[in-house]
Formats: sequence, structure tokens, C-alpha cells
Amino acid sequence: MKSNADIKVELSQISTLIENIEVKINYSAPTGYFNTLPDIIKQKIKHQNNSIDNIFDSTDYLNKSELKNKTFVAPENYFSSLPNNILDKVSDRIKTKHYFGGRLLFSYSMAAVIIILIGLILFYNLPHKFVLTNNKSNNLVITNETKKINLNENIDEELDKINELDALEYLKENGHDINAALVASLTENSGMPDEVDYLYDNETLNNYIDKIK
Amino acid sequence: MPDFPDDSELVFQFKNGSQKEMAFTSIIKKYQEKLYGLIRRMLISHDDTNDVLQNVFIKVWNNLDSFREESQLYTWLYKIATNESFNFLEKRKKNRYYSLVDHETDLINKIKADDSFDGNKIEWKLQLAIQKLPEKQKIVFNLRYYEEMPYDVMSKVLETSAGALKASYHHAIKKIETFLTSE
Repeated sequence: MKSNADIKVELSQISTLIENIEVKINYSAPTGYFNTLPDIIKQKIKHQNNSIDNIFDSTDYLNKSELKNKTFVAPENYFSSLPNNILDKVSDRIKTKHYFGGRLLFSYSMAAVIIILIGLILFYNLPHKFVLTNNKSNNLVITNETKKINLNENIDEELDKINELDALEYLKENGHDINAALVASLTENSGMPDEVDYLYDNETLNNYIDKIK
Repeated sequence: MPDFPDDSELVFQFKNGSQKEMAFTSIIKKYQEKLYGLIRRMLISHDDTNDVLQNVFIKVWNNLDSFREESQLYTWLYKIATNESFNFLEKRKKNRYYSLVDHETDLINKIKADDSFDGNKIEWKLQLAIQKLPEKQKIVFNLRYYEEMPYDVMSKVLETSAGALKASYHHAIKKIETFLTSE
């Protein structure tokens, strides 16, 4: 270590009070402490090394692995009961899965029923202009009439109320042979098909006329 | 004090397996009193100092093989000793029991419990004043004032620039002076 002259000069420049303290306290260790300290330290180190050597110094590989395995010991009969325990857990899990699968199916079914109910409620309660995508006035009339029929549950009564001209117009627009139907309705021949039948087959009347010619 | 081989020779002997234990014993004997004094000034209690000093030499045993010889052995030993002392103090401060007692008061009480303590003597007042310093300033003051360590060596031990150490030492002295004059 360097000469302490510089250190004394430095101290005198900072504080003469401290520079003038003549005695420097040195804490003393108990008698004989330094004689025994090296051996105490070496003993500690040997103890530290021995605790490691005791475990791994064996030359027998099997003994080493046994020692390593003995570090963590499983409870008695743990391994004999392990396969059954695992199988129990697996079957529990399968049961749980089925339970959840059934529950899932039930949930979907309930959701479907609720959606159908909501759809029906909307169908019967919303204004029909929203229900019909075809914006023709005839469709609107028919839908309104259908609704009335449904409510009264009497189709004949409701059909009587329909204006004849409206009905004819509707049939014409939908491609039915109105004239043939009218002719058939005026003919008093029980051998002929009903006029209603003509409404569904506009060629029947022509065939019939050809036949009687 | 008996003559010991120089540090580089001791390190060489230690690294050469057959003389390891003998070299280690020599290192302990050569430095035990110096390191004891350094640690004791930080911890005051002999028992605490003994624990830390033993840990220091155990670390030396465990790590000297990987010691790089470009730094000096005694610098390395002082570094381990100061680090171990700081770590000990930190653990002590976190200790549930000791956290209830003011750390500074605890050290002052230990000084006053010393058989040779005399509160009227300036050298003992100086000991009390040192305990008022922050830990880093305390170690800088101790290394400079008691160990007379040059700043370049202290810089390696504490891993702090020489300029910062000079400033720290200056502040430490001024604080101690203020304490001594106010008494």
C-alpha cells in the first residue's frame, strides 16, 4: 500500500479537528480468536463438502441412483394403486363429458324452440308489409284475408266476403283461365267437371269442347 | 506477524491441487486480522463480524480457482468483505426484530457496551459520529482513514470512480466534524 503522507495532507486540508485525533480505535477480537479461525473455517468447508460427498461419492452406480431416488419417497402402495386411480379418473372424465354433451344438446334444442316461438309471435304481430317481401297489393289483400280466415276459422264465410271482381283479377293475374271457368259455371251438365276444376287446369275445357264438337 | 508468500504465489499454490489447503491457510492467516478490522468497523459486534468473516473465507475457497490474476488478491478479498458486510446489514435491516430497533441506535449501543468505551474521549466520540453516516460513506471513510487505502485501489474494491470516492470522503469528514463540534 502507498505511503499515507498524501492521506494525512488530504485530511488536514478538510478537517484539522479530525486530523488531530491521535488515537485510532481498533476493536479487539477475543483472545486466541485468530489462532483458531483458520481451522474453524476449514472444518466448515469440509463439512460442507462432506454433506455433498456423502450423497454422490459412492462408486456403485446402482447405489447412486438408489440414493437419488430416495430423495423423494412416494407413500406406501402408491404405485400399486396408481393404475386403478388413473382409470377411475378417466372414467369420471368420460361421464362428465357425456353429461356435458347431453346438456349441450338440450340447450340447443331449447334455443331452437325459443327462436321458433319468437318467429311465430313476430309473424302474427308485425304489420304485414314487413312480412311480405313481394310488394304487390294483391298479396297484401290475400294475406289480410288469410289472417281473417285464420282468426274466424270459417273459410266459406270469408270467401263470401271477397269481392268478385277482386277474385277474378287475382285469378287472372295468377294465370288461371277465367273464361273457361265462367263457361263451365253456366253449363248445366252434370257430366262435366266442376268449374273449380277448370281453375286448376285451363286446358281441360278446351279438351272437353273438342270432344263435344 | 510471520512472513507469508506474496499473493500471486499463494494463488498459484491454491490452484495447484496438492498445495491447495496449505495456501488457503496462509491466505486466512495473512488477511484475517485486516478483514476482521474492516468488517468489525461496519458491524461493531464481534459475533456478527465472526459470521461474516467466516463466510468471506468460505467464498474465497469456493471461488479462488476462477479468480483472474489481473486483479490483486487483497483487492478481491476486500471486495468480498465489503459486499458481505453490506449484504449482512441489508438482511439485518429487513429482519422483523431488528427493524423495530433503529439500526443506528443499535450500533451506537454496541459501541457503548465495549469494555474500553469512554464517552469523554474524542476517539470514541468519533466512533459514535461514524455511525451517523450512510453505509457507503461509512465504508469510504473507514477504508481511507483507518486502512489508508489509495483511491485507485478503493475504486476497484467499491467499483466507484476515484472522483466520487474523494467527494464521498470529503462529505463524510464534514459530517463527522459537524457532529463532533455540536456535542
